[in-house]
Amino acid sequence: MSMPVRRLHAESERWVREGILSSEQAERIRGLYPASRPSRPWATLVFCGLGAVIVGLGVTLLFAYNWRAMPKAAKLATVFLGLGAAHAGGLYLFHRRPRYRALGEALTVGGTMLFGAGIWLVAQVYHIEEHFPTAFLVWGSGAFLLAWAMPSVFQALVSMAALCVWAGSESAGFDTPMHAAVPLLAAGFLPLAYRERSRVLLVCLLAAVGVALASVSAACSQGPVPFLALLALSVLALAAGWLHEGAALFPESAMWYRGLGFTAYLVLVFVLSFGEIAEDLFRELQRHQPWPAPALAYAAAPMALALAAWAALGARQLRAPPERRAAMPPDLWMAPLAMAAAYALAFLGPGGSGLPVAVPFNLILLAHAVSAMAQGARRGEVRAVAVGCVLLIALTAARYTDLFESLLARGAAFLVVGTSLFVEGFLYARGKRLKRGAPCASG
Amino acid sequence: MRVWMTIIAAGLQAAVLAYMAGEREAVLAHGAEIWLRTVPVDPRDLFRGDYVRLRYEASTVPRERWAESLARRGTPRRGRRVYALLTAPDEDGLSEVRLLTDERPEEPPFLRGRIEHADSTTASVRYGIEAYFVQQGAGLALERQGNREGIRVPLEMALAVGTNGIAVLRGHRPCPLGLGIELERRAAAPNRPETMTGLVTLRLMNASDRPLAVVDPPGGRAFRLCPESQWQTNPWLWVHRDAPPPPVTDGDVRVLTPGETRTVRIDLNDPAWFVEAPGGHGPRPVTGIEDWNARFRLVYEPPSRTACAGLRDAALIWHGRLPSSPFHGRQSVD
Repeated sequence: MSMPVRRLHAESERWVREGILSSEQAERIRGLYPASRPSRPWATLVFCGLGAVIVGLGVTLLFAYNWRAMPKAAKLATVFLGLGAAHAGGLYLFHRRPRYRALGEALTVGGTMLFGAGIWLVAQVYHIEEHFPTAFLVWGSGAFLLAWAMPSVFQALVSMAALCVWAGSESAGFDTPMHAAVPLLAAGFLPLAYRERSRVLLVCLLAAVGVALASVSAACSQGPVPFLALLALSVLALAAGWLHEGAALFPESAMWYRGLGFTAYLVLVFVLSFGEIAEDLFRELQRHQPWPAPALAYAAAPMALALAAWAALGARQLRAPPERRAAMPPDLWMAPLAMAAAYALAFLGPGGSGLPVAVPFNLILLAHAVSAMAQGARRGEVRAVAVGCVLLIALTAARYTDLFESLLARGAAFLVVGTSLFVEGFLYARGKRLKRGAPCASG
Repeated sequence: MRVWMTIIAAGLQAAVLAYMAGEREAVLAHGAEIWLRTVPVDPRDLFRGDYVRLRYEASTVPRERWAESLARRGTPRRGRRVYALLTAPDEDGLSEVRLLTDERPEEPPFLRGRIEHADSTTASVRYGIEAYFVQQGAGLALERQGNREGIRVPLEMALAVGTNGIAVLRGHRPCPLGLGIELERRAAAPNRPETMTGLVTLRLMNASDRPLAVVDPPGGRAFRLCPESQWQTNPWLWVHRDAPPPPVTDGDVRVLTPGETRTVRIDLNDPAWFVEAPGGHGPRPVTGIEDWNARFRLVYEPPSRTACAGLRDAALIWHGRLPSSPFHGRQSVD
């Protein structure tokens, strides 16, 4: 149970004792914020899992020494016995000893690490020099099966890492785009993240999908397609975050979708705020016509999903009564507009050069900064204030070099930004004061 | 139910490893044994930690040995599955590639591989046997064995080859003959960089433990100048590439005791060693070519057993094909 929820449950009992609320009302309030599922013993998992990983590496190194004194049969027997012992012990503890479930999971992760080491060791014993990315695919697949069978978030993380290395090495090392990688990751791990309501798995999955999308699209296309695909993915994640707000299915994911999506979106739009970079990116796609079908697919699919998500979000906001609408800052609706602008400029051509190409993205970033600062000041939310101020400062610093060429312009910009920050501090303090002093809603 | 699922999932991991090991064990137990000769590789990459990187003569297949089904589809794409049909083993048990095809052959022995890279004249193939793992420290002994006072002695690798073309390394031995190459350099003027004079010293060494004979007709004509491509096709061809080997006499045969060396000197400025290229590039010495891609090897290739049949020391003559390290006109030996 999280700290605020725990406190709410405790306070609700005090309110009933003091006659502020009836017991039925308190029960209804507690029902709105149920105690969350028991969290995973991450400390045990991390330390035991790390130990299992390092033991696996140690075994690999011992065999890498390639003891001549150790016959081939002994080497193979050690691999199989180690693998069997780790999995047998781990599965026994996991299924039959609930108190040691985390330890059992960590042991099975050790077994999976030995499986990976075993692939390389068997290759060493028989002098096999095959296509090495396949080894990561096999390793990741082995971990994937256990991740679903147990189920185990840790196994899923190992599997995702191995599959990312597979897709990345095929793309980067052999110029072979693995088109199955992104759907495999999404379809294979997203249901598990939802089933286990694992935020760690969700966050890692979003990062893995981003990495796989970028590497695979870069292997089969030229120019800004990976950039556009990542921008669309970030906008999709942002919409997903708001769609999960208050939803019955995995509501805890909302904050993480939004956080990752918005951060990635801001970084990518910040890159586009530089005129020369934006112009180079947008012109690059024009140079490689006709566009190959895979490139179009990797650009179009994430954009289509993002637009569909935002359309669904818009429909939900319109249908819901005002008091039940998600408290979405209006400036967030510029995210799909920024994505559409980037796609239009890339596919139709920038139509200009230098900083003017980047003007829309600068204005969008400025709007986000001002909106965050205003929202933070009004509600007394330090996080929104910090995001807005950092964004404003970063934008000003970036334009210091390419927009504000004269000392007069630079001086004026600094005066404006400095004054804005000063005023923001004052407004935030006032907002926080008002928030503390606002009367509690009575039953 | 869930318990059984996890047991099956864990069991599959063991099954994968068992399949990998079992497949190779079956090849070792029942596969045909062949020997393949390695070619000298860049010494900087020869040893990586505890394993030896290998490259075979069979790894590079010229277009004239491509099957029609492979050749008619243009330049083979990287990663394409191919099959290398092998010649019958010679006296030393060595085999070569006689045909490269993309259709699985019906009759073994053949090696299964993938195209590493290819151009219009040559295909480079990987067979999964390009790494030879040795005990830590044992690589140094192999390195010394393979490079004796600047003379490269290639390894010959023993393979077991299964009916599906999968090969497993079984062992190794040194080639009976080693070849070293030195390119003479001289500075044209003080404070000027050294350039290649065109004079090449080749040293053939008996690396075996029994007497071995080499053939050394005048003018170094037991050697052939063969082009090699690095990044792009090397268009330069030796002017006498189609000439038959010269007849040999007893006077051209030299018997070497174990460890003994025979020195052969070749002048690449001699018109007999000129190269030419299509597109109006007339015959010229290798030293006159500035293209970094134009690499060459001098290949020791004595006359056939038939041609040497009547010679006194015919039984001792080593019949094989031994390439030197590659070099190009810009003065380097790679």
